[in-house]
Amino acid sequence: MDDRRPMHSILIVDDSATSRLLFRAHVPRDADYAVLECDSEEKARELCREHRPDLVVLDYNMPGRNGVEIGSVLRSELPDVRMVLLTANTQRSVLDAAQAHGFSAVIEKPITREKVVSLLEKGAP
Amino acid sequence: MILVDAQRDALTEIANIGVSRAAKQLSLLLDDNIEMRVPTVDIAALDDVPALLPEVGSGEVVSVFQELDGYIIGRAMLMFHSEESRALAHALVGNINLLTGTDMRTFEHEAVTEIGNIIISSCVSVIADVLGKEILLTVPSYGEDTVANLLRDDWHHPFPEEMRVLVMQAGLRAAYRDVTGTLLIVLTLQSMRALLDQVDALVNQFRMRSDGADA
Repeated sequence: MDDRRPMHSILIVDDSATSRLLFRAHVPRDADYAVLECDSEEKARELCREHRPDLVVLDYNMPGRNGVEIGSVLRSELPDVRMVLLTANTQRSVLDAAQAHGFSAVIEKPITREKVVSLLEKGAP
Repeated sequence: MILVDAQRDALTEIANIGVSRAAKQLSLLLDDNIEMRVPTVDIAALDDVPALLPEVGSGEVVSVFQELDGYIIGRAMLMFHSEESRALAHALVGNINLLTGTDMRTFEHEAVTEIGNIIISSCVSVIADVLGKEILLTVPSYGEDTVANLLRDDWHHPFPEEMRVLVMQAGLRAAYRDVTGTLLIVLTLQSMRALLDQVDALVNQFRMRSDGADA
């Protein structure tokens, strides 16, 4: 039995199932990542408490609070977690908010394999 | 309310930049070449819009829409023919071989909504940045109906007859899939005036810079 644990874990928080599917599909299969996903702030908080992911990828345009605001809440529980914002809304105000709240990168939608691989290679969580 | 030439020209250029960005995103998403037709821009009352969209036709269409708030108040709507939207969804999800045994229909609405979200957000981001204003977007919704009925939807506005539509017709055609989308930005009269005032200010600003450079 293989009882190895994955080296790193990634949490994808996006209310779009398609978006989560695309991200998950583009994580290299040979990479040692456990990929968690959820569609709401509440579930994100639960998963963060339970799994303490190394990297959290948050969609900006979420029901209720936006991804930057949710990220701030998650950071209060996981101060050292690396956070990345995922959005097609690249208005200056959104990029500024992400930077101000300590997001290490913004990935412009659509999600592609190149973007996911680059994210994981540049700053392996 | 009609567009003067300078406003139409400026809005067409803004639409051109926004739709170009959307075309790039769509190309990445579908792994396909996207041909783009130069957008056309009009302003119309809600009831007059269907007549401006002969390509969309009088049949049922698929619409992804997001409410706008902040500098302008209204709704951005992206419309496709039903068959085209199905082809889009299949093109997107079919690119990743994860759905074996999964009911594709489950993903059709969801996938089209996400595609709409990306295109609308890209275009609105460009408009906001060019105008130097912040425009807030809600999460996307999905609808299927005729253009006329979709435009008669609940506007949460006491006088829908006063709403005005900025009709940006932008043909985005995937080379291997014949898909054409139309973007509508429906605004309150006050927001449409604010938008046009800001466009005027922008045009004047560039004219002054240009005059200064010529002097």
